[in-house]
Parts: sequence; C-alpha cells; structure tokens
Amino acid sequence: MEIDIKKIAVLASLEISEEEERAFSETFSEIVDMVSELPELSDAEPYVDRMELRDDTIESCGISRSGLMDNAPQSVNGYFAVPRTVEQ
Amino acid sequence: MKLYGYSAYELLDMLSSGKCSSAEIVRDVMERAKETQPLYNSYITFNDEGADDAAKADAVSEKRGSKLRLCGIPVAVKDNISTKGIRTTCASRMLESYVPPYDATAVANLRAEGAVIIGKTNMDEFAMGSASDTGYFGAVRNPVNTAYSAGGSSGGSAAAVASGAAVLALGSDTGGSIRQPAALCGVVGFCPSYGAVSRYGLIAFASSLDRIGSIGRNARDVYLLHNIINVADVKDVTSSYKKISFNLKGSLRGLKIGVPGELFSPQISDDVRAAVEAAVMTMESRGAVVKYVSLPSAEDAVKAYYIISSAEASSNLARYDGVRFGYRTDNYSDLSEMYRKSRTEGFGDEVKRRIMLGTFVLSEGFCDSYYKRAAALRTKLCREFDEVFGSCDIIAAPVYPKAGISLGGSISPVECYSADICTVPASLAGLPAISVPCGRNADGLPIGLQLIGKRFGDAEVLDAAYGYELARGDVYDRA
Repeated sequence: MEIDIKKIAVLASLEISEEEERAFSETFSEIVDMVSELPELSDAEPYVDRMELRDDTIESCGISRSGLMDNAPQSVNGYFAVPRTVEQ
Repeated sequence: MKLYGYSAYELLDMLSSGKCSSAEIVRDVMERAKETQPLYNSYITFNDEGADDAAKADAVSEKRGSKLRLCGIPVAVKDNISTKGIRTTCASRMLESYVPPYDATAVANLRAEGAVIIGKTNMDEFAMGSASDTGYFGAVRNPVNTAYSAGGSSGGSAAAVASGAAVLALGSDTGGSIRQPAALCGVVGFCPSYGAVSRYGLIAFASSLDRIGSIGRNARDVYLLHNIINVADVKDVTSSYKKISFNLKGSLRGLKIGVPGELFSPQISDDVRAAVEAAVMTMESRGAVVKYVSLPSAEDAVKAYYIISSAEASSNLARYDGVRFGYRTDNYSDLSEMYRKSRTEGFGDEVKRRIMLGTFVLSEGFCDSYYKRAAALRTKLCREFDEVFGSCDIIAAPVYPKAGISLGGSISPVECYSADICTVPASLAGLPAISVPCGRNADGLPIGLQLIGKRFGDAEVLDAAYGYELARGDVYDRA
C-alpha cells in the first residue's frame, strides 16, 4: 500500500524533511504492514466501559494564575502570547 | 548495612522501634541515588527538598502519636507523573522545563502518608518504548549488567529500586511499561486493574490503557505501596470506587493457574520459557492446580494495541503546540508554522512515529479497517479472558520474550513492538498483572514471571505473587 507520509505529517502538524522521508517511509510501511493483518470481526461490538459522569463543580484548587502562566513559553500581561492571526 | 538496602516493610519496623530516623533513611538513599546516577542514569531530576520532607513526615507522625503508613520511605516517581513544584519532563525536550502546579492524586496520596519523593525517574519519551532509550536524557542502564537496558518505559523506576537508589517507585504501564522493566531489573512490578489507581496527574499517552502502578523489591513492599494509591478519585472519571482491602496470606493451595499456550509462543527464548515453567511448577508443588488454557486473540493483541495506543496518543499529544506550556521554537513567522516547528523540534523520533501511526489509522478511509477492527479484537480478547477466568483464578505467563535487551543494539520498530506479546493482552483487557523475579539466565540476567488476574482481582494477584515468593524461598529483596 502506498502511504502518503507528507500528508500524514501535515495532519499531525509535524515536519518531515526530505532526508528523513525515505527512512521514515520504510519503517512506517513495515509498521502499517504489521498492524494490517488484523482479522475482521463483524460480531464483536466495541468494548464499552460505562463511566459515571459527574457534575462539573467549581472548587478552590490552590493554583495561582501566575503559577500556571509560569509554564507558558511567552505571556503578556497574564495572557498567552501567540503570533498575530488576525490582520489589522 | 546501609539503610538503602532494606525493604520498605523492614524500614517501617526499624522506624517504629526507633532504630533509625526518617532523616537517616532519606540521607542514605539520596546518597546512593546520586552515587549510582552516573552508572545507571535512573533519574532525570532529584528532589532537593527530600530531607525537609522527611523531617515534616516525622513531625506529623509525632504530633498524631503514630507513624504515617509510609513515614520517611523514599519513593521515586516516574517523570510522567505530575509532582507539584518538581520538574516533570516525560523525558522529552517538549517538557524539559515544565513544572506542574499540582500533584497527581497518587503522589498526593503518598505525601499524605509521609512518603518522601526522592526524585523523578528516567523513561522512554512520553512512555513510548521498551528500553528506556528513546528519551531526551539518555538511556537507563540495567544495574544487573550495564551493557543491558533497564527495560522500559519505566526503566528508571525499576533501576532505581533494583540499585537502592529508591526503596519504592511509581511507574506507569500502558502496554507493559512497569512489568517489563521490573522483570529485566529483577524487581517486582505491579500494574493494577484499570481504574484501581487514579490517573489524575499522569501525563496522558493512551488514556484507555494508561495505569499508574507500584515497583518494589518484593511483593510485600509492592502491596504496601499499592494500598496507599488504590484510592477512588472523582478527578478521574474512569477511577473505580472499589477499594481493595486485604492482607497478604501467600497460600497457593487450591489456586487454579491457567497457562495460555499463545503466551508461550516460539518467540519466547528457551531460558525465559524454562524459568517461567519452573516457577509454575514451584507453585504447583505448593498446592496450586495448573490448567492449560487458550486465548486465541492474544496473538493479534500486539497489532490491536499499537493501533489503539497510537490513535489515542495522536489525540492526546495534540495539546503540545507551544502555546500554554512546553517547548516553543524560535523560528516561526505565523501560528501554524509555530505549532509545526515546536512539535517537530520538541518530539523525538519514536513519539513522532506513534503520532503519525495514530493519525494514519484514524484518517479518512482507514478508520474502519484499522481502529474499528482493533476495537473489535479488544472486545473478543476481553471475552476470552472472561472465559478463562470462569475456570481459573490466575493466569501465568512470561513477561518478555528475552532475558535482556542489549543497549545500543539496532532492532526495527516492528521487532521491538512484537516483543510486547506477553504484556499487551492484560493491558487491552484492563486486568491487573504483576511481574515477579523467577530466576536468572546463564548470563545472570533476571527473568520475570507474570501473573494476571481478573478485573479488580488485584488482591488475588498480589497474594499469588507473595505465595510464589514464599515458595521460591530465596527472597531477592536487598538492593
């Protein structure tokens, strides 16, 4: 099967350089071949483990806003900073 | 003997009788951890406040008039489990400087019982790997023989416990990541039932498979640690309210052990097969009843596992975009380029492979033939396990096909993935499973016996492991 590595990389928001592409394609094809040999099981329903959902409730967690922002690569006045996405 | 060599249960007795203090235990273990770090590379970050935490645990114990259940016991925590104020990297450049603002529930449970976090252990990047060699901070070496890997992905936790650089450790197990390194390092590793330990604060790889579990030098120590983290938690919607409270008895009389032929496939090396078969015979000699059973879908479980785990990983790891936390590239001109470059520079090759595989199997036109088939196989496998447990109490199997993984050897991803054959069936079915040392091969490399129980049969699994240790006689519980 022909696999479009470039397209998958775009979907996954990753870059694969020209040099990497050949090596990556080869191992990727081997992996896809391996997992392709799964039997078709028409009678088995997907495994569902029922979860008890709870209400979202607001509670104090003791985490400060600045404690959260400290992990941001860039912040301005307590906000996450990203490149401009809207034209002026 | 230095204190780092003792088991947790021995240290707790010594503490109670005043033969040592928490501060002395933590000092000895921290010294040992720092001394062995250049040899094994078990840790990524040490907790510099360990000594203060020991003093605090002592003070709380004194105030309440009795010792906290893990008072002063040094515990290593895998670096994908959040620790408030202590860097948590997932062994990735992506999270190289990430400091969680909160504790994982399992870590909070440990701290509340006086355990001292000694440091954060090395691992495969985002827990994706089998030799703890895909991480950004270098490979973990096996304390038994440094030419070999400590296994993975919780290699740092297993190596730390094996070498006395920690008394106990938390690991995480998605497809065998606690059991396999425990087997390769000659320690005990327990992957509890899915839902028995909260995943809150465990940095997600594959959410329907990820579990936090316990590593120690013997079943008693692992039992001690498991009992503290086996707590229901509303912050993990998949966590269960079944609290498993029990005492270890270690009786094997009448225990029905199922031995599935599919997990003793030709892929299993002769030395591993012989050691595991001998362990089953030892259990039989103590009154266990052995039965040969079949799990036909186990042979395809690895394929289903890599489809499901990679699919979930591709979704879970979409959050790393260089905006709120984690690595951000220096070179970008717009938002999408910032995402792409941050992810490309921040993730290592194995993580990229899994993200791409997951993206592929979920992509338009392929989902039915991959993801849905894998999900159906998972259901079938669960039913087969149910059938086996209709007539057996426990399943015995190897943990890993080989006794050792040479460091620096080149094997293809497919060979590496295929070797997970013995551990992924219990992962897909959410079953509790333990790895207990059951001997060594001719080169002195440890081999593990895997015991798998029914869902929430965690007590039976720990008890059978303890029973096997008693039957085996020689207790390997000293570092």
